[in-house]
Amino acid sequence: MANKIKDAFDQIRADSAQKESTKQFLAEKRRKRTSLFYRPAIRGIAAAVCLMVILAAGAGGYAWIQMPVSYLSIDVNPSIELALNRFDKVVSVTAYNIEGEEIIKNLSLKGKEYTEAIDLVIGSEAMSVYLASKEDIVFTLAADSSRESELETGVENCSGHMGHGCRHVSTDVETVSAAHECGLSLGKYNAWLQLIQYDDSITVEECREMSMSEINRLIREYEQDGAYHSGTEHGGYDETEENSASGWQQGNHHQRGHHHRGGRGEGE
Amino acid sequence: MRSEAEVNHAVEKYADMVQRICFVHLKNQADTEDVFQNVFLKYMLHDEAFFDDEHEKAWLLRVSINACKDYLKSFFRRNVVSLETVYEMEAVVPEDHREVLEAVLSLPDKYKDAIYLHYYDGYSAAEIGKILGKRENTVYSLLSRGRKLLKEKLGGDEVGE
Repeated sequence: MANKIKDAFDQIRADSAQKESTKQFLAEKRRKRTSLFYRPAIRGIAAAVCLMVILAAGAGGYAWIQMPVSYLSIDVNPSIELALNRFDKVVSVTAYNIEGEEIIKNLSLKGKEYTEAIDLVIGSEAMSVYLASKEDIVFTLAADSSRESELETGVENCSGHMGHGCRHVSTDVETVSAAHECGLSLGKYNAWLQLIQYDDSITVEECREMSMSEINRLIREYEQDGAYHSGTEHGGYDETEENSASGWQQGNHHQRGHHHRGGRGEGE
Repeated sequence: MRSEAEVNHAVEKYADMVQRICFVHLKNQADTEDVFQNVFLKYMLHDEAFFDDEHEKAWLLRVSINACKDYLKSFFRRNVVSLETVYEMEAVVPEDHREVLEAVLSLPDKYKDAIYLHYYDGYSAAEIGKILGKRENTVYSLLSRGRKLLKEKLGGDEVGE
């Protein structure tokens, strides 16, 4: 049996044509492999270039996603500023005073939708003190033009149902860099701009120390006094402002109810 | 990469062996040619040195068997049915050997390699185990069952150890 199988298989042989074609095939492969592209150095360079392109694209994409395009500042006395990317997600959180740091230190806001971030900030324990004392809360939005209307609606919804002295202001993105140069949050800077229209002796530093309630009170006082009525020149920022449905709920002096924007000078 | 002279020498030396492995597994000459070329391409690109001729032979056997199995598994093979499914055995094999070959080819795949390596190349069960990546005892049972099947096909008295 063993011999039979051996003899039988001995009949199976590779014919010379097949051997020749295989040798040719191998020679062809060898020629290709030794050609330019297959040289290790060239392959290495090609691989490195590919890798760099991929990395650059990845880094670029990441930077694109992480790039802040809109800013939302929440100011009571604590000043907090959220930077939002083009998908309205929080990419960075900055506190502009110690009270602000107190609030954000226990919150993780990065990567969250801005509405969720607002709820977290307002709902935080550190913030409840200010809410209880009915301090003004001002949301100041500087949105990228493509996101503007949507963000405005979102902020309006968030601030609207909160009730307590809550309002929101919109301004343009250029204001943000000016605010950061002064070391103020967007919201306070915006309020300061309004304030110096009445009294240009008020410095950034003074403003930084004041709560939004105080600033607003000052502005209202100036308005009441009629200290400023020209209503034409405006500090280069564009604002649209509405009071929330609840308006000013504070117990402090004069004028409550709605502060609808009447004339230019009234802005808060 | 191995030198051209070395590769050509190997083609001359092992062509028949690789051809037989292909014959055991594949159904037609076109497939055989594909696998045949592939095996020697792998040999050409395999840079590690062999300890000796036996090592080289066993390496080629292993690579050939795997190449055949891979080829049969490939998507193309499974989805394109060849018209010439029967090996052109008539052309190459004299009548008196055909019966034995047909009997071996008709064995289930798992027995074919063991039977071929044992009866043709004279490998022991332990060596076959190494080439096929199976345990020695498994090879023993593959051989004995394969032998039993062959006996049934070819008639009992002809099958010896």
